[in-house]
Amino acid sequence: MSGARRRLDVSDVPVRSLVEFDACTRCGECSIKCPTGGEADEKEERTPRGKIRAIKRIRRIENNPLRRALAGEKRLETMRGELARSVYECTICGMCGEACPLSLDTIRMWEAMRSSAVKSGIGPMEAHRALISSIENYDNPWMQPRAQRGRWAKRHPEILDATKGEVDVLYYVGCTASYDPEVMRVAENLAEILRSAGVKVGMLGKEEKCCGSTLLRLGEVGMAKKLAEENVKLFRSIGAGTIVTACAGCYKTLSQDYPELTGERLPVKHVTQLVAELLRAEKIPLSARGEQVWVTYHDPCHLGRHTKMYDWPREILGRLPGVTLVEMERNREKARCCGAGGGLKTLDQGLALRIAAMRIEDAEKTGASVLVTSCPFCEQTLSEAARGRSGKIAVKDITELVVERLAK
Amino acid sequence: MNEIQGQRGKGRYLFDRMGVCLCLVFALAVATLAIVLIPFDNTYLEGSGAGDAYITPFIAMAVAAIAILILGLFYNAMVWMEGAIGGVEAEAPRSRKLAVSSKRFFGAVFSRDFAHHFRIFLSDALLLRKLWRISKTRWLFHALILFGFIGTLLLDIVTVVCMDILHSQQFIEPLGWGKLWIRDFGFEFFGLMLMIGLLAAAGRRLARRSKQLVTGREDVVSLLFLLIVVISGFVLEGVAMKSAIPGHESPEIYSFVGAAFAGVLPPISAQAYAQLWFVHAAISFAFIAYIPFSKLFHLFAAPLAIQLEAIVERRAGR
Repeated sequence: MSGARRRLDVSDVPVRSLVEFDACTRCGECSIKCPTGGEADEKEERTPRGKIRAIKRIRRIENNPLRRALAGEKRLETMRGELARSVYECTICGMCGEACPLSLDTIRMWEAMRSSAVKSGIGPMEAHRALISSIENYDNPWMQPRAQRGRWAKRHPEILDATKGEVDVLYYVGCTASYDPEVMRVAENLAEILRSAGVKVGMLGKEEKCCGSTLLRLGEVGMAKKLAEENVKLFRSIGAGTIVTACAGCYKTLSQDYPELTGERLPVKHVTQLVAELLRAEKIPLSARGEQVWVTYHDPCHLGRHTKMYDWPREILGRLPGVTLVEMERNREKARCCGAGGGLKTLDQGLALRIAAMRIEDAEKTGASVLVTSCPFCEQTLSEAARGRSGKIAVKDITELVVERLAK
Repeated sequence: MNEIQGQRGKGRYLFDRMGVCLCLVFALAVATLAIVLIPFDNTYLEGSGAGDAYITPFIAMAVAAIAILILGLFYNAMVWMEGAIGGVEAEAPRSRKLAVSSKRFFGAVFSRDFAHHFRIFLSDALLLRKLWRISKTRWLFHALILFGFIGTLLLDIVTVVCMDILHSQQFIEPLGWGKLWIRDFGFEFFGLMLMIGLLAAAGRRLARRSKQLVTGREDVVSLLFLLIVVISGFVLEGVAMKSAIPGHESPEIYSFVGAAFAGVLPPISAQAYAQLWFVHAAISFAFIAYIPFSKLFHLFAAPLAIQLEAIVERRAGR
């Protein structure tokens, strides 16, 4: 509309989050613990405190004609652009909310601000556009053809086609484990564990679509909602009693975001919960003695601070023969992020790897020889960072550790 | 990118504005009436020789400060209402959003979960349980400021009610318990708490250079403003004691901070006391009016955010 003046569109930001922006006392607890603005780099504008300050300043100027006239539209546009960059230079790990003396729901705040950035035309960042258009065109963010999605499963005839017959458990593989050859092992491991437990498992193959996690983290809520509705319809048509996923991001999206987007609550479990339950029921045959190994566990943000799944992975590690868990100083709620989440790795790989290197350092301090995690994306990033260092510590997905100890 | 005043119909826009204006006018009228109807007896000024000269401007300032406070709170609430509320269409008038969210909020708090929400308010908003776990020192600084502020505010209300409305002799007579324990000791105690807390907070900002502490203009202004309010109050008490103004005689043990200030102040006339009283009142009212437009607005927003979180957690069954 000609003559109309641009402004931050907060119509999708929950009122609760807007109240929380005003509740911030600028104490700085979040700033020192923020992986991108406080730990890897010292950049105040990237910290939660810096972002809240910028949001409030911009909105004050936009709501005050005099201040707006004094600031000028060009300056305001620059401020909005800088804010958008800061909002995306964040892993949405939730450490700030954990550190906040008021326990502000910062995860919701930052995701809402990304949605606001998209609605205001200042987000996502250029680097993210390829991911979004890939999901739009190929149903995955990695620009891979749909037909290749279930190819890895050809080596596993025990995994059934869930679209053609009834299954006990529907394995939702996720995009990263479907296409990334390095991470595909996670899918194969899970297939082997479930086979050994005698669970009738199926997957969707080329019918499976991205869960929409990437879209939600980048603020593309409209597209994510459409995808969520399609997925829920597909899951309902399969009628599986349990949906299991090995990806922490997919788990958060299916269990936490889908009920908000579609109103439907799915019977979803993360692989750590399913495997722990099967181990508890003694349905997974383990070898009597495993090789003695000292491991440390990295809590993925999506499985930890986002969905509070701290105990299942630790229960698995506790039940594996020969495995001794040594906790890092920062564990559970206080665990450091791997640096990859929230689209940061796509936006600034160097920064993501610097954060991952700090996590590897945390792990090395424990003296453990293996760093275990339960998120393919964390594993991918931490492995890269570990290779960049002396390579003293191996990075493994938790399913790999279980498979190594299966009774042959 | 959206546009200011988007595509909403003119009627709806007017309805939005009218709804907001009606609520606002009602709140302002109630506050103004309450202030104007209080029969201020100017006991504080008795004996200073200034008489009633300062009372009318005092009431005018009180009305203006409270009006600005209410306007500011409304303004901030309206800014919040630009956001989304579940079950209410995005284009709904902000007055409707405010009505819906207020109804939901108070409905959730004043329900059978009231005890739970009250407990959360006490432990998380008032006693800042999490800050206690993070840093005992910072908790102490904050508690001194918060409880000092709340204490002096409550004592102000008690004094106005007992002295100006009920004309309680206990608050007026030099040796009445209200005079000794509320007007003298009470204000000294909470004022001292506030002053120590503010000085400690300011000292921490000056002494510590860390990336956690970033001191902006707003931080400095808020700290200084509150410090000036509390110090000017002690100066006033000191002047009254030094000048032996009738009606302000106070045993030093009850007005211990005022007595300390009296010890370092030059002798001053009763007339100057009245002027100082007016200046102290003006600064205090300016401070009240400043709250919604400063970082001190967290006094309202932080407890509200904590309570909203508690409501969401309760609904989710956590």
